[in-house]
Amino acid sequence: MNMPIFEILLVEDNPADVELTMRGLKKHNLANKVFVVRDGAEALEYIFATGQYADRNMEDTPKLILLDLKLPKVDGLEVLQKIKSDEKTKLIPVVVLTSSREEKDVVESYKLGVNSYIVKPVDFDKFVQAVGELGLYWVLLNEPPM
Amino acid sequence: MLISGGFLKTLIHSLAALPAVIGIIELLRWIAGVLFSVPFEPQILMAPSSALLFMVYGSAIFFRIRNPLSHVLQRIEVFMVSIAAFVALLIFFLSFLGIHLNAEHLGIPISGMAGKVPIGNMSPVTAFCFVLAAVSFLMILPSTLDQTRHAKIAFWLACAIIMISFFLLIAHFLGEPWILGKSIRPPASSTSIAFFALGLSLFILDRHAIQSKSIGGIKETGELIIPVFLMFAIGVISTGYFYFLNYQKHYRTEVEGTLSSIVDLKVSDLMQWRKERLGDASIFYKNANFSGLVQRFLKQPRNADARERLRRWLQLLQAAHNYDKVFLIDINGVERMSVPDFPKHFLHDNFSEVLSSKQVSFLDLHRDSGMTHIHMSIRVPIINEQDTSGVFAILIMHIDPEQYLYPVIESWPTSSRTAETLLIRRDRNDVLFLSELRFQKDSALKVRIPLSRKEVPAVKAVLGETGILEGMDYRGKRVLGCVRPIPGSPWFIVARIDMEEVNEPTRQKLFGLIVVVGSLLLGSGAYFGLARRKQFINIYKERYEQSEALRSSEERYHNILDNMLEGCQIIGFDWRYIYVNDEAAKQGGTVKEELIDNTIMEKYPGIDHTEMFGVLRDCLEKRTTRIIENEFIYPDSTKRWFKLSIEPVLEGIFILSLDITERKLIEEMNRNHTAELEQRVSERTVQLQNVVKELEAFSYSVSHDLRAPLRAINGFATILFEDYNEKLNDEGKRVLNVIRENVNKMSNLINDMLNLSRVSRQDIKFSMIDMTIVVQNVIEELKSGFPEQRVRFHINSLPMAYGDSKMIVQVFVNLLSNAFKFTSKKDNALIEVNGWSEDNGYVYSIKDNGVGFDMQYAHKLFNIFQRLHSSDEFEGTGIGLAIIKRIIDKHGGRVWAEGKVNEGATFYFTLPAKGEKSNEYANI
Repeated sequence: MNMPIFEILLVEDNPADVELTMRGLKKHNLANKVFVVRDGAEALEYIFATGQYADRNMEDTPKLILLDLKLPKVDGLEVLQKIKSDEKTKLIPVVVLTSSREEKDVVESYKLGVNSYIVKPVDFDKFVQAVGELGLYWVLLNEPPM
Repeated sequence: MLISGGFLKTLIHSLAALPAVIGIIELLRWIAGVLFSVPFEPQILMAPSSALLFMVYGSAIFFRIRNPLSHVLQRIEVFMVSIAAFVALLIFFLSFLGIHLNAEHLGIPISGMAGKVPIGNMSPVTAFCFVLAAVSFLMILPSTLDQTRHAKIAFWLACAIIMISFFLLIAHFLGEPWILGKSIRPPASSTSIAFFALGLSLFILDRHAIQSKSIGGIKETGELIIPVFLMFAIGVISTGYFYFLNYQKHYRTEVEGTLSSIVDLKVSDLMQWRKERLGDASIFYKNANFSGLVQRFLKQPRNADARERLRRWLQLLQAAHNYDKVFLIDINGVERMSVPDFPKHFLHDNFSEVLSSKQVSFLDLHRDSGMTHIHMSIRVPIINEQDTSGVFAILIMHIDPEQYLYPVIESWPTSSRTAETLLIRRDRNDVLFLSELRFQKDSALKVRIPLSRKEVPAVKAVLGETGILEGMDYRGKRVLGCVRPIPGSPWFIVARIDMEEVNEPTRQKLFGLIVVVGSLLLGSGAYFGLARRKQFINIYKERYEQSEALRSSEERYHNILDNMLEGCQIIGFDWRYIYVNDEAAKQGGTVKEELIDNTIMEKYPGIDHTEMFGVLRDCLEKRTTRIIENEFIYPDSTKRWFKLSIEPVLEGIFILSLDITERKLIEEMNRNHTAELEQRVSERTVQLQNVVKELEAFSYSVSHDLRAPLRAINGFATILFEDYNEKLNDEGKRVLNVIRENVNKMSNLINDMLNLSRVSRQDIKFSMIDMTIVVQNVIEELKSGFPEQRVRFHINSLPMAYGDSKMIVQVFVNLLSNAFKFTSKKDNALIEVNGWSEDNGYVYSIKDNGVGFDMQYAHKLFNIFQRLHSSDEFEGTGIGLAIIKRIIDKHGGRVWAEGKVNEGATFYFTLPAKGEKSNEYANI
């Protein structure tokens, strides 16, 4: 199956959050470039083109990964660690987008090489604004090193 | 005490000063002798050097007795005596080399000799005694008297000096000072006296020093009696002996003198007698008248005139001098006339020698043949001077020795049992006794002794000896004799007396002396014996009293020990129990009688392998004191704990034992209890840790899971609001807003709670914090958060603080945001921040003039969820101050607030200075 190329990979298990995130991205016209996976394992399969995504071209890396930390199966930090420890994927910008303000999560994420850490605001407007800004910066403005 | 009582004290002082006084007197005598040019008799005098040394010694001892405590005097004494002793030692050695120093004369011009040595120099004996005295003196000094040995040496040296001087004194007393021979000068009599006094003073000083030091005490004095008695006995015996020798010698001399004088008297008597006889003879010898008369008578025997005249001559001669018989013979030996007119007797005399010598001569004592009586005769040749025809007649005068000669010889001027005088002459190879012997009748001219018997005084006499001699007499008895020849005769006279008689008075004297000495010894022995006995009685009495005192004190301690609550036992060096009190026996699970005299190993087999036994052995061998706690296991396997105090004592080791089983049990219980508690605590800790983990998981999930639905509610409410705006009326829109506001409040609440929980769990990372900068930064941030609010700030310079900067920032954020919040309704809002140092740290205050609060709720302010205002007035979660309190508590500080409704509030908190922080709360 020849999959369309997605610029943003959203790893999020909560459908409400997925919808809210998508709405935020949509407001900045980024929604059609988003692929959503629902757990850490699926995220890894997608990124490394294994399992159900085995026929995906691994060369088509997303421009941004939005990663929730609290995920079923494989948790966000482990996913982050796998991405950042693989030569082929470590250049992909990863932004942790999570409800956790726990310092240890923040510190651990940065240690693993996260590019940005965003706490999801409860306030919807702020949330939309934060997601939108993220998408704009990393997808449109950031020039990845080639 | 030796030195006590006025008289005794004076006596001792005089005794000590005596040597010095004698020394001074002797020196003065020398000086006076020189000044008045008195020639020094060649006798023994104290040398000036000795006199000087006596002055040194005497004064040293005198001052020692007088001022025994003066250290200055003592130093001077030691110095002087040491110098003196050195001088004495030098003189002692020099005298053996024959060197006599003139320096000893101390400048007095002395010359002359006594015996073979010059006068005015110290005797080696004196020098030796001075050295002894110095050593004795130095030994008595308090500084050296720490040892009894020193006192003993001093004592015996003093005794030696006393003895030596005593002997010297006896020698002087007997007039025989040269006891060491003529080449070794003996000490003078004054020297001997001075040494005697010196020795006695040293003796007393020694005793006194010992008593004042109480060395040895009674024992010393008790032992002293025997040597003192011995000294006394030796003195008495030697005095007696010397006295006897002297008496014997004197008596012998006297006897000898008597003998000599008797002999001399008799010799002169006899000589006189012979001279007289010869004088008698000389009247007729060469008498022209008489020879003419004889000639006439011989020619004319019938001439009556001549006969009568001649007879008268002869009668005169015979009568005047008591001759036995006077008669005239012619040259043919025919008796011509005899007076008295005895019958003619046979003349055996060979008078040819008279005829040839023409000299008057004696015919020695003889017995005419057939005659019993002895006589001697004088033969006078009658010569006519005018013609040379020679001898024509001989006048013979018969002398009867019984008349004068024998009485003279036999007479003895004193009464004596054995004394006699013998008249002897040599008769060829014999000695012939001429006179009658006292102890042998009819012995004259009969008893002969051959010359070979040289022990006989008579033989000695005829062989040429004269004077006093000893020998055996004719009876074979020992005799003392005096022999002398009688000049001009063949006679020798022997005056002899039996030795027995000579010795008899001395023997009697000896008996007398033995009686005197014996009774003296017996008497003194009895006295010393009594004294010693008394001393012993005193000693034993004292000992008895001491032992009685000891016994009573021992009994007292015994009673104490017996009745002590602690166990007491004494174990001897052979591991046997010497003493056990009831408690100790009880502790040992036995009775006293079972333990006493048994060894510890016998009583408790196997004890020698225990640790406790090692401690006991250490105490026994190395004399170490130990306190140990020991568990004792009884035969029935019950155990009890004892605290043992083990210490070395004279007899072995002393063990004080206290039963501490109860204490041990309590300790054991406590220990178990503690262990249990610790166990419980660790269990609880694990539980708590689990709870904390659960809480963490809870807060984690709260932060995540609780916020997600809130976000969803908020998000979808917003979507509803945006997407269905036209379909909602105003009330619908308001309701949606209420939903969204409450969701935000919920979100804040969750955030604050998470903060609070995080603060509680986090450890403090200490660092120095510039509080002024922190406050300024926080205010800047808050100003942007409350842009419409106009507030004035007074920030004074704040002291640096030591704490966790993040947490302290949190404190200021919370306090200052409260201040902003509660002054928001004031027109002239003022916030003051102050800080100052206090005792052990710093105080910071944030004061506002906001709505304030009622002080009655002050204690509730810092409780969680506590709010004093409705959320309509001021929004808030009621967690901010609780977080502050947690943070300040964790730092070891305090936080409090003052306030008044509508006038403002002041919040204070303290932080301890660096090093002062208490970590008490660090892990809360």
